[in-house]
Amino acid sequence: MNKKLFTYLAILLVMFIISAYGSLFYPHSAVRPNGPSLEPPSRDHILGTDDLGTDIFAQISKGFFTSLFVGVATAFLAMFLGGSLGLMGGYLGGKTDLFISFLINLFLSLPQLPVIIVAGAFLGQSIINVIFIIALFSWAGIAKVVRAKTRQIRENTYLQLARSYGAGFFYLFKKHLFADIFPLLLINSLAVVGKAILQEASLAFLGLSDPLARSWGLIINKAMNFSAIYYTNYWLWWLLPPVFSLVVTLYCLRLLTREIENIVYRSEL
Amino acid sequence: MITSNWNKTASHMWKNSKRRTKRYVVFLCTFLTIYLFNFFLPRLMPGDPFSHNAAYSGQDMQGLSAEDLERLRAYYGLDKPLLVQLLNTIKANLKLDLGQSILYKKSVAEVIKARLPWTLYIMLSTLIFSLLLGLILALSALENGKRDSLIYKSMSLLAEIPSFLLGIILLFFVAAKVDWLPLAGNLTPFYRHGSVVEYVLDVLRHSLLPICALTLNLTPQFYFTARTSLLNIRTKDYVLNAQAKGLNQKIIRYKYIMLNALPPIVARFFLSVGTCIGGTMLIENVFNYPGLGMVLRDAVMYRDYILIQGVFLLSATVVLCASLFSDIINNYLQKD
Repeated sequence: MNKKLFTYLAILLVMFIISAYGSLFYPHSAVRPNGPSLEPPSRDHILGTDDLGTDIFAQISKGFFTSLFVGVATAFLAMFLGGSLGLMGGYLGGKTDLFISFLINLFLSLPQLPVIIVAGAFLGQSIINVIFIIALFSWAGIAKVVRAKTRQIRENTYLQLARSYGAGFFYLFKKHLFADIFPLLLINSLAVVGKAILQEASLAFLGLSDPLARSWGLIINKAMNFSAIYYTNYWLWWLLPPVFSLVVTLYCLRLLTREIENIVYRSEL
Repeated sequence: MITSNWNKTASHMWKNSKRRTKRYVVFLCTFLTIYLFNFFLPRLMPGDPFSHNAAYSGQDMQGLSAEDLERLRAYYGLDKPLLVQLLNTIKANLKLDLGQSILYKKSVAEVIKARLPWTLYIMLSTLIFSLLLGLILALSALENGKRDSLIYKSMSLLAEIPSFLLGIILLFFVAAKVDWLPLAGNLTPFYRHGSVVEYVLDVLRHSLLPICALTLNLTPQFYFTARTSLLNIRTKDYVLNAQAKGLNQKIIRYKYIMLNALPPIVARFFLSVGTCIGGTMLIENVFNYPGLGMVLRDAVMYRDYILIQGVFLLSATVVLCASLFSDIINNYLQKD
């Protein structure tokens, strides 16, 4: 197995295990206050408590799963939307393709963060809405790549031959298109996982994501809004851990994506 | 022979102009879609501002009576058919009237006019600094393989840290440790600036860290573009020819390579406006810098729909225009 790939996966796995311990076996709740407020780290509270007395380690553990859920769910939605639209545009051609290309260009030229903020403001701030909105604004990149690839494959002689024998779209898709498009779809969707996590964290940092879902962005937001944060040492265990977790997760996902991309392209050569 | 050649040029020109028209059509359609999205989104949502306001302001928890509601709807023109509302909105917007902000009790245009300069200042200085820094880094490592791979690696690492996290890190590791750097705001509050110089210094001091955080985040983009472009130009025949003539290395480097490598970097500048606008909005909230990003956040917090629409329309238009510019530059490049 690839050594680099293994390292990144191992780091993510370690984070997963720590977070699983924090949300399943750790004695403190991530939502209810469970101790005196603003405790420094101790044996009882590994990373201390926040201003309401909620355990910070429990919150960060829960935040990992929130981030993971947001990232993976968004990537799946974007993969489905971008994949099917890209396939449709590339395969059908003509007016459909023109329309889909226009949609792709439209969504690619929108300024992402402001659009997501505005859509979130009007649709309401539940975590499901946030996922749908981020997915709605990240499918275009996937669709663009899939469309180009489909167009390119469509002209292959073996596909034309199969079509002339009367093969339908689903047969062609299952037998020929899928194997060529899937690696591309996978790489681009993996890239969406990290972007979605970052966008949710940005929204939560602004206080515009789901106020009930414990996410890293929300912890950062609360810590930054605590007025004495600059004059005390609280930031060491209240602010740095979520920032650090976010950076490490984003790095791992990015490097993982790049490594898989390398492997796929190497196998294609 | 001549006719066929002429035909070729004509068809090329025709193709080019067709491409150009297509771009403007796409631009217009995109703008229209954003405009309509902005207009219809709040109107298609369940509920309306009046029912929201009564529950949120806390002063009047009973809600509005049916007659009051009707009177308010008529006052704001919300009882008319959608098409009439749309036409009225367009008419008002053409006169730069974006409505009244509920939160600030001022017109949206006034709020934007007061805050926009700060955002523009941060954005433009960030873009210019990152362009220069990226170009200098790429130039400095042009002939030096070891340095090149070092810079390339550190830039790839830097590119992945989101700007608002960089801002937080700078805030706690630099601003909180040093006396002369402020933690928030754009000017020292309640301070009477004795002279223009003092005022300028105060502005610079407050904007130093926000610009730093954004620049660190944006420089890799420019560096990668500049590096690719420089490497591309370096292998051109005219550079080889200049070297064979024994021209001064400095002249080759700046006049032959750098000047010719500039256009893609300038196109990158306009493309980066989109990334930069999102980053600026976040960084303003990290440093409590009173630009449009804080206005947008407050507007969403207090459900000031009219202000949200105004700020969004402005930022979307800016990004669209910038990407049109970069398209035009790229197209100009392809012609050669």
